[in-house]
Amino acid sequence: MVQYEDQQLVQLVLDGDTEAFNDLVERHQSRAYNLCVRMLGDADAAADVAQDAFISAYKHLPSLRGEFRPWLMRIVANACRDVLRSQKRRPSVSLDLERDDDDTPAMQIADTGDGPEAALMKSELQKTIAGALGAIPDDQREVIILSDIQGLSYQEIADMTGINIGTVKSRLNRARSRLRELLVAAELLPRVRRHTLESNT
Amino acid sequence: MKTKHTLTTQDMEQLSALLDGELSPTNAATLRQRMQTDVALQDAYTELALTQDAMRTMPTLKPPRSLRIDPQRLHQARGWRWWLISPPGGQLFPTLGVAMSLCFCLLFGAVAMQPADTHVLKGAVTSPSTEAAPADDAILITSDVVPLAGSPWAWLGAVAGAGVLGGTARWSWQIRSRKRTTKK
Repeated sequence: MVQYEDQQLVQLVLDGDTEAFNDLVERHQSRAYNLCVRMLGDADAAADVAQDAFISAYKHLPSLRGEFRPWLMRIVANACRDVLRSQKRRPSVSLDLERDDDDTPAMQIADTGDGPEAALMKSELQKTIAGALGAIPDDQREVIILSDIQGLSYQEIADMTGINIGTVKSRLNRARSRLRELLVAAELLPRVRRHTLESNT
Repeated sequence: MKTKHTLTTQDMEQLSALLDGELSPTNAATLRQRMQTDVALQDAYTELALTQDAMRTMPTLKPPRSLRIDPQRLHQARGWRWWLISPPGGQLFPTLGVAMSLCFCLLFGAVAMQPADTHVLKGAVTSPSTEAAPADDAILITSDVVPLAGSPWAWLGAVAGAGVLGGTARWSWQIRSRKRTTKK
């Protein structure tokens, strides 16, 4: 099967090939979904928001200039921001990232081959981080997710969120400091250190 | 000798930027030098690095369902820009556009180039003072029945026609070249 670049697929879509757009969806759905689920903390809502963002991307595809992926991720981040804003207007909707139900996809952890103790600690750590992410302000959460989970540079984050690099730096610092405090309070940081050392050896 | 100071917000921002490789080489060197003697900076840096590492170990989640979109739904989602780049009749639309704007341009051009001379009926008052002449006596007729002949409006129409012609020709060309690129 021929593997097209994003830009070629975009051209095919613009020529009326809707199936090519679904190829783009399949290619980027994981990244888009992960951004949504970390931003919103709700697996089902994240899937809906990510899909709506894809539809919005399709609608505005003729105005695409430059690369597809950063442009798409900007749309996804905007969609998440809109949802968070509307949730604030209707505060009855829970923002908890940490959910105890066993079938929550956010808590599904791939088998990394670690021992049971390491896996348990990792699970606890991820739970704490997920909870801590829910406890920090939306703007800080967005920046730390884009930087540390999505791996974007400061410039890319600034372009995507429409804020300047100085603000990116300060938001990222505040988010990391808050996370650090929470991990230290949960006594997870020394264990992280030990785990890191163990995994490095 | 190693010291331990209270860290400022600026220190923390710099440590965070150092961790991401986003600090300028000069600032990074200065900070690294400070870290060699300041235990608080070292500890904060290590903890930030571990926090970042913990964030990076967050698993990549699989969407609960495929996010593929029904083509019918996609078709409905098309905005007005889609009409511009992908007209309903394919190449027919821009071709018709070129033909119509060419006609428009030629028509207005021809009108604009018509002489704008007028004849005055015998016996009519030719005085520039309209107040002096009774309105019923002055009857102006044109040599041809061509409205707007030689007027600036006709020229404006011709120029607008040329603009539309250029735009639609460019549109048509873009569609053709995009199709060529896609075929390649």
